Amino acid sequence: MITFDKIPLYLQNLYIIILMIIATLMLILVLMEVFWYFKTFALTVTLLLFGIMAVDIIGKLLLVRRQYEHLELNGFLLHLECTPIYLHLLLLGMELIYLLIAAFIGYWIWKHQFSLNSIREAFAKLPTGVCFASDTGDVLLSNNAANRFVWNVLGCELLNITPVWERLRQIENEQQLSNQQSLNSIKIMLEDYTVKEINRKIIRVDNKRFVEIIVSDVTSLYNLSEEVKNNNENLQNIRNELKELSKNLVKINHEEEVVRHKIRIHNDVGNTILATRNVLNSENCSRSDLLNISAQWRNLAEKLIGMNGETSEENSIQFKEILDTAEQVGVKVTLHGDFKSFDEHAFIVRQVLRETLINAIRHGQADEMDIYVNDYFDRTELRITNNGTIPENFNESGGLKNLREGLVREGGTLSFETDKIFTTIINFKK
Amino acid sequence: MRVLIVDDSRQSKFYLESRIQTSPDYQVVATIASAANAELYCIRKSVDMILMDVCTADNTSGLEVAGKIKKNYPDIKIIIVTSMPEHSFIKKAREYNCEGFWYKEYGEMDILEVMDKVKNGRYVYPSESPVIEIGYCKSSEFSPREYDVVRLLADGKSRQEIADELGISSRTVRFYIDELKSKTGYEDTMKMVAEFVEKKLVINSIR
Repeated sequence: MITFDKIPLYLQNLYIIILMIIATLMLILVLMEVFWYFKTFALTVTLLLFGIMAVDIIGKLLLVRRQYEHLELNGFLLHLECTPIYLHLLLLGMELIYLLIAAFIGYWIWKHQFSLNSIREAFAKLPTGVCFASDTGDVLLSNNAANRFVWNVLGCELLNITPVWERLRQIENEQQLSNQQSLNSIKIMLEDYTVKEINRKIIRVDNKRFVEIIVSDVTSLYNLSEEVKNNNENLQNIRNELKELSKNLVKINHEEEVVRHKIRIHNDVGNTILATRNVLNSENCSRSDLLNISAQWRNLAEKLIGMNGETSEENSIQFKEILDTAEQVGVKVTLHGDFKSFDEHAFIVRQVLRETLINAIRHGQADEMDIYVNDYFDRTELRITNNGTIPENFNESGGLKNLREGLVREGGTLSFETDKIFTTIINFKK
Repeated sequence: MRVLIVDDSRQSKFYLESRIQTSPDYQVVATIASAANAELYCIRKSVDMILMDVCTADNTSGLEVAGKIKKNYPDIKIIIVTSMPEHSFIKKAREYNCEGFWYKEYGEMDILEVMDKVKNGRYVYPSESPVIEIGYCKSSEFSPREYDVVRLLADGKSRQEIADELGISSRTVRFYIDELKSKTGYEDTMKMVAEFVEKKLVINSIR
């Protein structure tokens, strides 16, 4: 059996040289992994392989040295000398494989790691403008897009972010692209109608503050938001028109009712005329026929009278109706003055008048009421008195309370006097 | 029976008066334009029956006043009269316990017939609201909730506001709107709502 010590010395040396080459390459790999991209697992594997090789090298070196010095081999070296050569070759083969594995691991790491240069290159070529500045505004790092943007818009270099930001804010105020302004965001439109949004943020790295500026193209987003804004305005206009239509619907309905009545009466007139002609043309026209026709014409006349349009001055009509109603239910109302002074607040005044009337009848059993309209230089006053019994504990309940709120909303005041005669007083300032 | 007519249309008032006068069972106590003045007659117990229009003068809702009168004076019979096919009127009239409901233009019965039945203690309501065509479908094909959504759209409310008011989600509101558009064949929501308003299926000024 050939053992390691039996092979010629030059072969033993060659073996060791090869082993050392492999070990050196492994060492280089280890150093690369430690200094460039430290990956614990890969490093551990590589170190392990290197360790095995190191032991092998040392053993072989000792063996060869002893042989050179013609010293006796003992112990471990004796065992080493006696191991067959194929085992040593096998170990060498395995170490070669280990080297290939370590090289592959190193290569894989190298392919998947970013080098500083690649990061820098990618940053410089970003389509979005990015810039980092110190607290004082001095630019530390900016990419091509950011530099280009500042040069195109302001015509200067991007050296300090503070004056650039102020100038951009001025441009934003002049253009007024958006109603809402944000402290850390600026939107401006360039000459080619693209819209850029510049966002500012404070970031912390290693306990130091830096200012990050990002310039993004928001043209399509801006166009969409303008479209949405226009659509919303249109929709709001349509909604307002619908509301108006809805409000006027009652009036429109009345007019339609009038038209329908007119059509009905027109038909009635036509029929009555035809009937009259038939009767008059008839040879056997009797007195009862004539009386019937006469009744028809009388009926028609009444309907036509009822067709007279309503008089104008809606407020006066409504006030009159309240007074007439009061008379109908047995309350004699005397008006001193003219309700015209309250035309501007007619609706709420009518509500107060009605409520006062209802309370006077319900609680005071009043049958007389006096209404005084006093026009002073600074205010207009309405005083309503009645001859009903004055309540012992007068409290404003739901109806009067709501009315007071309504009056206050229109700038009026409501008060009561309960000394000798119950009096409701409304005042509106001029 | 003493009858109070509340209608702000002179022609309607005249028509109702002339019809009632043909019957010896009824006497018109007064005709007024504003429902707000109706309560005064009730306090003095001057009326037994009221023919109440829905949209009256002074922007007063006849339905609201009817509800108030029925609460305070339950013996007084009230018949709601209207020419508007607005969907919610019948429902409100029932809620307020009004004895009758009569459509001026679409009534199946004569007003005197309605009054006679109400006088005899019956509740007289039309079998259904007038059927109006909206787009490709009929007004009877919409659900009450769909009417609520259309009414709020006609009020100028946004989808979220409608959702908040009805207590449903915005997505559900959108579903209802899509359903309405699908039924009517309208592609534009506002045009569809305008049709509802124009045909008086929803009225917001008086509710």
